[in-house]
Formats: sequence, C-alpha cells, structure tokens
Amino acid sequence: MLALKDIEVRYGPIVALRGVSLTVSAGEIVAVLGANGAGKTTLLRTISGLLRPTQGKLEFLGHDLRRFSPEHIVRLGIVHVPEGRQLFPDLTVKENLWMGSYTRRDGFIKEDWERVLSYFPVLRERLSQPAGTLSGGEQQMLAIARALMARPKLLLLDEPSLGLAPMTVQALFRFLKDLNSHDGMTLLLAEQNAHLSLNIAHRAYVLETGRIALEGAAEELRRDPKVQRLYLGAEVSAG
Amino acid sequence: MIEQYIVLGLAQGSLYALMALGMVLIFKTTDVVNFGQADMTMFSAYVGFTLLVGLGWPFWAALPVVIAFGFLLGVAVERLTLRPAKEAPVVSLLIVTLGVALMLNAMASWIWGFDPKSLPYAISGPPLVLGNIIITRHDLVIFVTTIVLSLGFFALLKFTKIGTAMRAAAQNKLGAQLLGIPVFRINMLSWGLGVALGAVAGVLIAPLVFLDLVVMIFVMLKGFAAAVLGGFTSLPGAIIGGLLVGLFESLLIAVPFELVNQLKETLVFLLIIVLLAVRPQGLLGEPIHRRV
Repeated sequence: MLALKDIEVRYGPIVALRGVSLTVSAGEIVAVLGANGAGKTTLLRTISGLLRPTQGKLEFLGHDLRRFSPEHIVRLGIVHVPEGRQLFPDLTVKENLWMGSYTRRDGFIKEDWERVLSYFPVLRERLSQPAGTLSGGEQQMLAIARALMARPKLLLLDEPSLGLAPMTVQALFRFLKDLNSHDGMTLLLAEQNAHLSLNIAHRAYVLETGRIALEGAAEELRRDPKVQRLYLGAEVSAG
Repeated sequence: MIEQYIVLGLAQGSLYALMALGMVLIFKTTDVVNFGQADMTMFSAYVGFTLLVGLGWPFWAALPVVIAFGFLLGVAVERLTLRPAKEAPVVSLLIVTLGVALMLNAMASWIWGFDPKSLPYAISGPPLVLGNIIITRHDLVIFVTTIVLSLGFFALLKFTKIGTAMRAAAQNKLGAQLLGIPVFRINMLSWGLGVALGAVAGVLIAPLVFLDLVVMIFVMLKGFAAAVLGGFTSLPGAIIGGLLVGLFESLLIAVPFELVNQLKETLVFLLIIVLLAVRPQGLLGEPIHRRV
C-alpha cells in the first residue's frame, strides 16, 4: 500500500532521514519506534507531504506522493493525526468533526458520523462544546475521530499517547487495535511508548538518528535484546 | 439634537466597521495586518468614480463591479505578492502590503491625476425626516449595506463549510492542512473578501468627502482603531468598535466647545489608548500569542 525507498530528508544542511525504506501493507499496524529526535515526526510529515524528500521513492497505491500537496494526499486516503493533536480549539466538537470530512463529496458522511460517534460516545455529549474545553484524553479521541471522518485508507498517528494518563493510553491503544482488527484500518504509528506499540503492531521499525536501525515482526523485536534494553526498559519481558 | 449626532455617528461608524471587518478578517486568517487597506480602498473607490462619473453608471450597477474589483485585487495581492513570500517572517509580509500600497498609489495618480474627485450619492433625493431626525438617503444605504454585509459574513463564517474552514485555518493551519483544507485558497479568499469590504466602504465614503490619493488613510486609521478597540481578532468586535469610534467622533462635534471639535480626531485615538490601557485585549478580543 505504502512504500518508501531510500528516502532522504534534509532541513537545510541537516540530514534528518537517511536511506529510509519502509512498507505498510493494507490491514497492517506498523509501528515506528525511536527516541525523541530520531526522525519519527519527520518521517510522518514526509509521507503526508508537509516535507519533501531530497532523494528516494515515495509511493502510495501506485501514486508517486512526491508530486502531491498535503491537501491532495488527504484526498488520496492518507490522513495524519499530528503530534499535539492540532485541533481547532474555538470550533465546537461538531465543527471539528465536520472539517474532518472537508474533502469528501460521497454519500457516506452521515454513516461515518454515526459510526465515529459510536466509537467515542463521550464526544456525542460534547458536540456543541468548543474543542479547547475538552480534557486531554477527549481531545485525542476528537483528533482521531476527526481524522476518521476523512475516511482514510491509511491513518498516520504521531505520538498519540503523549501527555495522556496511563489508563487513557491503555484504552486508546485498545481502540486502535480494534479499529484495525474490526474495521481493517491500516495504521502507521510513531511512538516513544515501545511497549504498548509492540503489543498492538504487526511489524515495527526502529529509527535511530534518521536511519532505520532495526526492523521486523513486532514479536521478534520484543525479544530483541537491544530493543529490550533501549526501548522496553528492564522490567518488561516478552509477551 | 443629540439624536441627530447619533445617527450621523452611526452612519460614519458603519463605514469604519466595514473597514475594520475587512482588516480583521485578513488578520485572523493570514496573521498579516494589511497596511495597504487604505490604498486598496482608495483605488477601488477610484474605479467606482470611473464607473459612476466617467461612464455615468447608476450606483446599483457600479457597486457590484466595485466589489468584484476589490475582491480580485485582494486575490491578486495574496497570490502574486504574499504567497511567493510565504516563508518570510510576518513583519516582512507587512512590508509587502506597504509596497503594494505604494504601487497602487502611484498607479492611481498616474490614471486619475492629483485633483480631488467628487462622487455622487448612492441615492439622491431629499432626506427622510423621522420625528426630529434627518437621515439622508445615502446614510440609509450605508446602514442597509453594513447590516446586510455583516449578517452575510456571520452566516458565511458560521454556517457554511468554506466559512467554517476559514475559521479552522485561522485557528490551526497545520491541523487544517492535514485534513485536506486548501489553506492557500482560504487565504486568497480572505484577502478577496477583506479588500472587497474596504472597497464597499470606499465607494460609500467617497461621496461624503472628496476622493483623493490620501483621504482613505484617515478612514483606515479609524478602521484600524475600531479593529483594535474590538480586539482585532473578533469580527463582532470590529463592527462594535467601528460604530463606537463613529459615534464618539460625532458626539465630539456636538460638544459646544470649538477646541473639542477641532481635536476630535486626537480625542478619538486618546480614548482608545485609555481603553486599551484598561483592557489590553480590546472589547471582545482574547489575548493572542502569535509568531512575529
């Protein structure tokens, strides 16, 4: 579905990603792990067209993404839930969700509206409230719900667990898992929380200073001694 | 007697309100204060002059053309001068708007010369008398136009998809872009609408003054003051600010001291300084933190 080959991205003279190759197949959850500054956000921003690669190939469903603007990439079916959620704080929950379906002209918007609200019933109670008044967990739900209103084929999530209470994070990852297994949603997830990510992902990549240091099935990476030491901490064992 | 000054003040204030509304709309969506608003308004009013006086068109035919001209001018300014400089800091973009203003000013002097022009009233005929208030037909047109345009704007921004997208893009550009909202097209639309509002104000105010190359600077300053008074990010604030500035100015004329009459401009700005010292975010604004 998505294929990156030898991608290089620069911020001026600084090389942020170097020789990154990555694939996501339909129906998968793929996690990108790495410390702060490893290049996870740069990678997602490159896929959604906010940054242009200086080298390499970037293909989605047969389209060369390097030719498209971020707006157009949304229309192709890639929707990016950015770090920090980037909601419209003074717009109501309802208006935020409405903006999620901005690019759509099809007849299924109403249907998706009902489905998305059934995922997050708490949002239904807050429809006429400004998004800025929601709690952190509710805001993350709204960010994901808003992205789902665009009817994505591939959902990019950048650090969805950031700033959320541990219980909320657990629920969020359970939801992402269900979204994948029940609705067949394809997810590319950039996370510092390696433990939870490897629990729900099928495959994962580990980014270190802009390069892919490791890749493989989530199961394998969980058992990898280096991943255990660097990303999972001492107390976590496989499974 | 005082009622008469109130009516005059509200009519004048409506024009400041339109000016302020245009500037606030552009600022809210694009973070740029349009320092060229005066000259864009002036140029549009001259286009109105050519249609009304040069070609002898009736007002109702000229107004839509002037609005369309203002809209296209705003669109062109965004597309041709601001978008190519989109990576530049906001201060540089303000200077770009000043550059456009200088160009328009030079072009206007080249096309229409330096002699002041007079424009006809929107509707001529004897003024209407309501009790002890006299309202000219032109002032009536000003009221109706301001009310229609203000309500139209609120409806656009509140109830339409494109209007909601304009508010969304104003609040979070990145978030809007990642949902497929065409942020540049929205900026272009805001510029078009903002300058068109100025054009309407210009063609309505020109019959009340003599139209020359600099007269609109004073209208813009009042509009700017009105916008600041209203909070600079609030569209209702811009309208209320405009009406208050017009009203205050008019009431200062009513004061039976000649010194106060002569200092009315100064006193209007003084009042705004005092008000902002007490309430820095303006009447309806919120504290803003933006990149500079």
